[in-house]
Amino acid sequence: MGPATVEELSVEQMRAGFVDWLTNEASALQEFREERVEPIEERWARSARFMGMLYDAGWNRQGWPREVGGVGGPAILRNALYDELERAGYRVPDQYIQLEVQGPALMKFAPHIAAKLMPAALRGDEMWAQGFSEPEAGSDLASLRCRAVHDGDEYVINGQKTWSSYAVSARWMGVLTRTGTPESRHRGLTMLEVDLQSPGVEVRPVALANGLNEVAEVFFDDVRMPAENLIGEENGGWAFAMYLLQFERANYGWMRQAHISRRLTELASHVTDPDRLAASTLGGAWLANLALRTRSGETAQRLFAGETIGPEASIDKVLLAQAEQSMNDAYRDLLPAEFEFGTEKHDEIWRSEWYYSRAASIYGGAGEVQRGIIADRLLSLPKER
Amino acid sequence: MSHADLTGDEAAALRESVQTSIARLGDAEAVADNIGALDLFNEALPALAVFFEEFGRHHLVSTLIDALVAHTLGLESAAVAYALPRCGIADPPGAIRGGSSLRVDAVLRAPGALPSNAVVPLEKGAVVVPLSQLRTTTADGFDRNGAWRRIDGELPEVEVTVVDAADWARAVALARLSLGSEILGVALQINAIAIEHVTSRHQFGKPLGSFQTVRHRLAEAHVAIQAAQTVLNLGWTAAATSTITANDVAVYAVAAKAAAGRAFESASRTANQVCGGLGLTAEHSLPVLVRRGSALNVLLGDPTDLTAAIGHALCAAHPMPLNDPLVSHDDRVGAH
Repeated sequence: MGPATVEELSVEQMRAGFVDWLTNEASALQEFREERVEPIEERWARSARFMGMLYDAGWNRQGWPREVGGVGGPAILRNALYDELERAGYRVPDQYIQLEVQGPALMKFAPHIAAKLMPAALRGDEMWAQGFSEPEAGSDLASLRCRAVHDGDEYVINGQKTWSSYAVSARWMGVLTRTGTPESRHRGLTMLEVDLQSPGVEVRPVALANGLNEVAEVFFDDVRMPAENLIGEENGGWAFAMYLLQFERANYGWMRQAHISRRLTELASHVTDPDRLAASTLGGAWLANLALRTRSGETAQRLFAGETIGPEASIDKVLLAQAEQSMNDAYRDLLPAEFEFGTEKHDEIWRSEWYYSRAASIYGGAGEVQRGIIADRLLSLPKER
Repeated sequence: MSHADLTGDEAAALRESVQTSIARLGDAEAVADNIGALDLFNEALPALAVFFEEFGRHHLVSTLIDALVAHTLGLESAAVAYALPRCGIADPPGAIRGGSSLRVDAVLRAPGALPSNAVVPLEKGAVVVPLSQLRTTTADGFDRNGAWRRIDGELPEVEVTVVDAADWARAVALARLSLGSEILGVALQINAIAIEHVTSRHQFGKPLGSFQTVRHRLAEAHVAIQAAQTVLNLGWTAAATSTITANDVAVYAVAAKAAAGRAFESASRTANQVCGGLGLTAEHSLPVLVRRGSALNVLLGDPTDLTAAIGHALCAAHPMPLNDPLVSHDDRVGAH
């Protein structure tokens, strides 16, 4: 049974009610508690079904406004959902990552697009991807070249994106394009919502080291999008990207801490009588995640209260990478036989996660970029030159 | 001022008055008296963090931790006897010998006259002992200006008073938070000195701070400091919130001191490198801070001891706290 008066729900009530629901539905939800060695497309298909159930019961509509398919209530309730999912042993569907990263920015810069696309995304019917990085324009995002030309009531897109998470299965992609001159840097960028089923779009999966097609290259060959798919203003794409990156660098950390916390508990259950070094490795990973949990939770509250986090989000992002990597390194270091040579299903899942954790200091602005932002904007150090 | 938390404005105002008072009086004991730090023990525990941070920044030695511990144990006054740290072994400073006498070997901080009693931790719990029965020598080792004293000797068990176990557990948690905040202040000042140094000094025709390696190291130290600040805030707030269990407060305090220690290690290693030879001279402002932070870092567990304690608790499936940072402090039950 879903909640009746969502608007009045507190975080505590949301947590308690949702945990009750998960407990009551445990047998129907069994398949979503399982970690499987499977192609990531199948993992997404499973998590899409899970989202459908959460949608029908009303839980994943909480904290999203009615205009976008939600049932209202404070946005922070969404974070409580992710936390309780992992605590109860469920992997948070990857789809929520894009919803959390792009959703708030879309609602602010293009409410008409948010209203049109979000209900299907919340139901798990359609996945989203984002198109930022390009070859030679990753850390140096403002040098991107994927071109969009305003032609009557359409935009025509030509170029390439890369490292696009979920693009293999996604229907919609927010694409940062160049509408200004090649020299216009961040001033000549425009954000467009692109239907990946359009003629001229080609998605090529990139298998990562763990074998999963988590990311893809996406090519655009005279792809035509209606002008109403413009997000924000023409040549105003940088403002959208910077707004969005606050959520990618900070609120995404909240989703990951919930997962790290679950995996740490699991790791600890496999370790008996550790020596000082092993115990300290484990405790250090717990501490790194406590810092991430506390800071990212507070940052989420500030973001949802409308505050601008700006460069401080880079600290959250560095803490995220530290927590992800120290937990996965702890597994490798404390259970080396299982990690290196184990043939059980869960051994492969740990190896796969370990490799994924290496990306935590690369995606959403590499660790070097974050340290540069901290040095410039928070410490006011002399600029690199 | 609420019991559990300090608003940003309140903390900033308090910090300003502590800084002004330090500039005027130059002595931690006088500053604590002047601003009434002891009144905060019951009124607004997290406000103490501001005092400890500022004492750390200005490398001032206070007896505020001793007063806080004594207050928590219901004592008039007493110095805290800290274990002499040995790598990986948490030897208690005091040990009961054969059921009739107590052997003591420990260090304490005494910037002024020695109090009459010390609180001596045992393997479990702690006892209060009269200092007059023990030998006291100076112990100004690495931290030359830390007012360290070593106490040792043996005394009959009849002369010691056992303190309440629950009170002692809380006192240790509060002492760890206090030390953590003082260490954080040291780390903040060290990073500030390093930032100033690399901004004003030039090599190859440009500021040292424009080299990426230097910038990134300082950024990493800053992240460690911010992480420690976050966990310290969590610990102080938890200690002042009546609905949070003693176990949770104890774990947060262990985590907070470990985080502060790691931040100090990061900041001091970085500063000792980027300040170059100048930072190693006797007249530079770094050494006194590096020495202070190093000594504080080993009291009541160094970062490795403390994270190991967390790791052992995790493996033993000991109940671990789970804070809810999605709930603003003001909404927390029992926060006022």
